[in-house]
Formats: sequence, structure tokens, C-alpha cells
Amino acid sequence: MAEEGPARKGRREFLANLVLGVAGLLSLGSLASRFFAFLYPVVPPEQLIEVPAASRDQIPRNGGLIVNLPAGHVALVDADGELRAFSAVCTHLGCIVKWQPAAGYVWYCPCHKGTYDREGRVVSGPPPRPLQRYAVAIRDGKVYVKLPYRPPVLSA
Amino acid sequence: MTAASLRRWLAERAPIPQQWLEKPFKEELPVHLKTWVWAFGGTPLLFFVIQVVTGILLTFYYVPSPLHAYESIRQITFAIRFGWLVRGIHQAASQLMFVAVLLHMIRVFATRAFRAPRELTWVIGVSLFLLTLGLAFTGYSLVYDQLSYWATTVGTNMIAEVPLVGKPLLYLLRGGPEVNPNTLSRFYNFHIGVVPTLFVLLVGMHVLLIRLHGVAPLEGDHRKETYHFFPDHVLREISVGLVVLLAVVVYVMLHPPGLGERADPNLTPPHIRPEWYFFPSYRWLKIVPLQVGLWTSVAFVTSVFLWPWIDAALERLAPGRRLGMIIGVAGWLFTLTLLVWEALS
Repeated sequence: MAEEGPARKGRREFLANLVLGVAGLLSLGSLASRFFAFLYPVVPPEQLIEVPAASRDQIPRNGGLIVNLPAGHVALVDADGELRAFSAVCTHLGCIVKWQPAAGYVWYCPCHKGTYDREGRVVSGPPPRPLQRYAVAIRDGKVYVKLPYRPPVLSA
Repeated sequence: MTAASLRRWLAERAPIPQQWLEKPFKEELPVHLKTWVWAFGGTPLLFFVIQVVTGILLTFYYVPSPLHAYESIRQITFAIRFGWLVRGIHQAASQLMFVAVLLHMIRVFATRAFRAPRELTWVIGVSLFLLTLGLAFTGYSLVYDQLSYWATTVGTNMIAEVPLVGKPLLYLLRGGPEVNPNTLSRFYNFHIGVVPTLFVLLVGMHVLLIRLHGVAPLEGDHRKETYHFFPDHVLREISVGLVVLLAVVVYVMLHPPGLGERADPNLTPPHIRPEWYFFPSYRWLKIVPLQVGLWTSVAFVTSVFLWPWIDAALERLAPGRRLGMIIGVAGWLFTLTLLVWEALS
């Protein structure tokens, strides 16, 4: 059998290293993707649900109320007899707003001093968006709010 | 067995070359280091060691679950023998560690010790500064009182504003879209596992680079004399370390740690504020729109990382005008102004 040339030997070594390298990278990559999946939470999609939030008489004329429900925090406001519902979560960095009527605003965020009016619009401070508005219905003296709800994550 | 035979026995089983052991101690240091200002280089590391020791002690009693975290901190602070001391030292040293890292950074900045070829040492140093902030933030969140809970909510919500990767990153960090029971165990893991491991690796690289490059020469200092790392410099570092440790213990005895109200996810408390070292960023976020606040913060941190190259470019642009120093000092003063503004408001 003829002696193997150095070029041929070099090619064979290169190919062997290449195959080994690619196989190694694929195995490690595959394992790393599983580790990432292990850490990344399984987040269920949001569903729109209607929940009873309060009695109608809990919100006085031109008054407001924060209600904490398992589905989320709701800000209810009476505007000259018309009831409106918003998410009570400040659109700046997620704190819960307070009912604190003052000149020009009714909702106040204690974290960065953002304020909103009874339409949920930003009056002052850093919030980038108005409060998220929810559909509201009154049946048998109870206030029902339609809000997005996300079931708890898998391992929570 | 005599001492000599014991040494021989050890040398045979662990054949470490003698010069490896001796070289770090025999190093000669430039004489400008022989002042107390330069004896503070080791204090961030000292604080880190204090944090590791007191942190390990705290893990014996702390329970990282939303149902028990607050109660376990209450037990540590008010019921367990010397719990107040261990937690107090951990809390005070975390703040002083931040101060020590910052002072070290300011010293390196002021003496321009970051210049080529020491850019990587600076970059690793800035990473260590950010990890120090990360340790403080995750540690604060574990207390699970009102301020701690809402600081976690606000701090992590900022990440969601980063385009494209913001939400997935937030989910990964919190273990879900909202702050939930997974969040506390994740933050606990970051605080005692991931971040300290990264910290130790980076400190190793930082110190290695300092030893490989040698101490940066001081601009304008032409003295050729040197002095010994061991025992001269080491003794100075130990003296500073002992004084600092004493100061921490006395401070904790005079101001033992307290505890706020239990975390209530339904009620953001009035007068919510983060720890003082986050005041500049907190004040900045109050006065500018969120996206502006986020991107200027990213730009600020990036420019601190790239400072050795920015400073060199400014020097080429206007040689001898010290533009880098002027801009840098303006940056420090601006940050300090935000901090004082928030502290006084």
C-alpha cells in the first residue's frame, strides 16, 4: 500500500477535527437550549374575563375606588354619574395609583409622581401612556369589569 | 516530624514552584502608592469578603419564599441571637462596598490609570461596579417589606421598555410577566449564586491584569524609588481594613437594622424611594420621559465602559486640553447633583 502523503493526512485530520467540532457545538447548543427552556417561564396567554369588582354604591358621585382582584388592580371612577374602569397599574413603571383628587387630576402614582385625570389621561409626570381602559357594566347594583387575565405561570 | 520534613512532604505532594509563591510578595511597587489614598484599593474586596461571610450566615435562617421571607428576616433581626449584628453588618457593608468601588473608580479616573494598555482592566472594573449594584438590588429585594417589594417591581419594569428583548428578558428575570413567587427564588439565586460567581471570576481577571501590567505609572511623577508589596503595602491595607471593620461594627451597634411593613402587592406605599445609591437614576426617571430616561442611562453606562477610548480620542482631538477630564468631571457632578437633589426633596 502506498504511503499516505502529508497533504492527504492534513486534509483527513482537518475533516476529523471539523466533524468533531461541529458535533460538539451541536450537542452543547442543544443542551444549552434545554437549560434555557428550563429557566424560561411558561407564560399562559391572556384571556378577557368579566368579573364583579364592587357594589355600585361603593363609588360615590364623582368619587373613585381602587379594587384589588385576583385578576388585577382596577381603578373605578364616577364622572358625573357615569362609571368608568381602568387598570390601576401606572403605565410608567408598574406601581398602583391612588385615588387622590386635586387640581386637574384624580389618580396619583406615589412612585414617580405621575398623575391621571378621570378619563385616565396623563396630566403630569413621566407616564408614557394613559391608564388602560376596561369595559364596565352594572347589573343588579353590582359593577362588572371586563379585563385581561393571565393564569399564573406554570411553576408559580 | 520536623517543620523541614513537613515542608518537604508537602512540596512533593503539591509541587508548586517556589517562585510562584514568592513572586507576588516580592513585588516592588512605585513609591507614589505609599500614601493612604492608595491603600483603599483592597477595601472593595474586603467588603465583598465581609458580605460572603455574613451572607452565608444569613442563609442559615433566611427562607426565600414570599410566605416566609419577611417572617424569617423579622426573626433574624429581632429574635435570633446577634441576628441584628449579622444582618446589620451585611446591610451596612453592602452600602460601603458600593462607596468603596465608586471611590476606587474615581481614583482610577482622576489619575487616568485606565489608559492603554490597561483598558480591559477598566472595563472589567466597570462590570464589577455594575455587579455590585446588582448584588445590592437583588439583596434589597429579598427583605420582602413594602419598599423592597416595590423597588423590585419598579426596577424590573424598566427592563420591559427595552425594544425587542425587553419583555423576554423581564420574563426570564422575574420567572413570569409579573412579580410572582418565582421572582423571589430567582433573585435569591442571583444574589447568592450567579452574581457572586461572576464577581469572583471578574475580580480574579481584574487582579491578574493588574499584576501582569504592573501598577499604572502616575502622570508627572518621575521618581524611580520603589517599596515592597509585602509587608509594607499589605500592612497598610490591613490597617485600613481593620479601621473600616471597626467603623462598620460601631455603626451597626448605634443603628441596628430595622424592618418596614410586610410587602403588600395591592398597595404602593406613599413616599416610596429606592436605596440612596439609586437616587440619581430615580430622580432622572422622574424628570424625563421613560424612553429618554432609559436610553440616556444606557448611553451613560456605555460611555463609562468605553471611557479609555473616548478619553484617548478627545486627547487626539485637542492635545493637552484635558477635554476628557472636563467632560468626565461634568458627568460625575451631574450624577452627584441628581443624587443630592433627590436626597433633599
